[in-house]
Amino acid sequence: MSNTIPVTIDFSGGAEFLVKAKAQKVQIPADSTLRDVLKFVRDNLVTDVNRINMLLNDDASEVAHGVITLINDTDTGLLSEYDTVIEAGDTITFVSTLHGG
Amino acid sequence: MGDIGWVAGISKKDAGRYSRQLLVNDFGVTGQKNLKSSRVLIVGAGGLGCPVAIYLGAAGVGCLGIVDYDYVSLDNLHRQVAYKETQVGQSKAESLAENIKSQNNDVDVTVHTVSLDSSNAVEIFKNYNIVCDCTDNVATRYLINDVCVLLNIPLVSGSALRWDGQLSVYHYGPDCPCYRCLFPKPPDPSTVTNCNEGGVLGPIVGTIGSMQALEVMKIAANVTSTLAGKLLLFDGREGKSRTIKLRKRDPNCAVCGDNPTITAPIDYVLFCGAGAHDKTENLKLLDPCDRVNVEEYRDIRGNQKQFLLDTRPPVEFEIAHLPEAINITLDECRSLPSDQISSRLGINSSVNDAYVICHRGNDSQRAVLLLREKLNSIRFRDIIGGYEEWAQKINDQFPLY
Repeated sequence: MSNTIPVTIDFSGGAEFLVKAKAQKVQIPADSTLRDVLKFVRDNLVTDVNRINMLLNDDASEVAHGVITLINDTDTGLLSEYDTVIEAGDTITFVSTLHGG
Repeated sequence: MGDIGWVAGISKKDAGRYSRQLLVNDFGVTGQKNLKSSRVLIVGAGGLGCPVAIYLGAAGVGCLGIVDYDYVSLDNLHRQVAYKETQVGQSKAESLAENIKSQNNDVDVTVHTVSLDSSNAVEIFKNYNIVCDCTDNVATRYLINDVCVLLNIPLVSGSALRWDGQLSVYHYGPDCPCYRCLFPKPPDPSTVTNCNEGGVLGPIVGTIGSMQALEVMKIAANVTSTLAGKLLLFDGREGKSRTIKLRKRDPNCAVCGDNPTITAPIDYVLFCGAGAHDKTENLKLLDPCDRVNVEEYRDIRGNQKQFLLDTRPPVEFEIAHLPEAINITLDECRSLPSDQISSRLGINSSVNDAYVICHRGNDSQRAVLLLREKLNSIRFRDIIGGYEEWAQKINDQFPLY
């Protein structure tokens, strides 16, 4: 088995309807960046592929408009955005923003 | 009895009325006086706006403005707890103003019974020094954000859906991002779920609205630990909340950046591709010959039992459905193979016609387009206006929601 690291990927604000469980512990390749995680999510976690545009853009190079990504509860806009390198034990969160009131 | 002098920070009446919050450290007399001189605008008198208005009125905000063009309806009452049954059908903004005044007559309440848009927002907002976004749609959220930045007003923004709520303070302090810094581009309208479709629980909007009121009190009292630059995520189902640190103000932001390109309100309906309300749109995806109205379907089913496919989610199907309806959701219409769809419907090769129904007549059209491809020997038609129309025109006892 190639070198992998354990991470938690969780979904909030409606994005959880596209996947099996709101929070999932998974193994991803070591040295993955957030950009790699988006593709991992598309290929391995999303079960409702018809509505994937709620979460990711067409080629899974970015999240959809209205979605924020966090690593360990910090906006990735404060880190290196999509180039942020994921470390073992990190929690990566996809937050869909809500608009109701 | 000669000693008649004293030094008072606050009037005897206010000291009595607000004593319990005057005793709170870091709020105190200064907080109370600042609150009294604050002018707070609440945009949206719905599930969030009700607790914001009632708590701020009770706490003694000097002036409250309420913007809402809508009327109280029966299906608002489970979460819009400031309204009474006797106020159903009346203006939300006026009803809320009346209820604030009956709770605290010292509050000066101004009512704006308009649909907020680019032409009126600046004129309304300029009279206030804190704004609360309690609205229900993306277009209005961008409008409110931009006008707050243009007029340099802090924005306390809440939102909620189903079991979840979110809360932040935008444009408050030099590093604090605005809504547009986080979301330079609006979401695809097809991916946005509103409370009309997704539902929401009363205590969720109650929690977020109460916390919005608290943020307003903190801003008024100059307490530094506000949610500016942070986002509070509340998951009511798990009983969890967490506060995350957001990115800083974007110097390239179109409205709050160093060289803004937006210097006056824009056309937000065009920008978002969606209307400034949370009402469901009426789609027209099918030719009229592939649709029947509710009267026609009543007659057709009266002659012979029909095959009726109901595309709503199971929670809605459970509320009520026609006896012949088989629940196959829109997602299942997409994902299930054709043989499974026909076996669930109980149709065989001799069947030529089937009908599709949903809540309001949009998903049923989408389903017809999908089903046509999968089961091309059957003529699928949708029922215009769905169960809502059925309840209005055929059977007023049918439970609407």
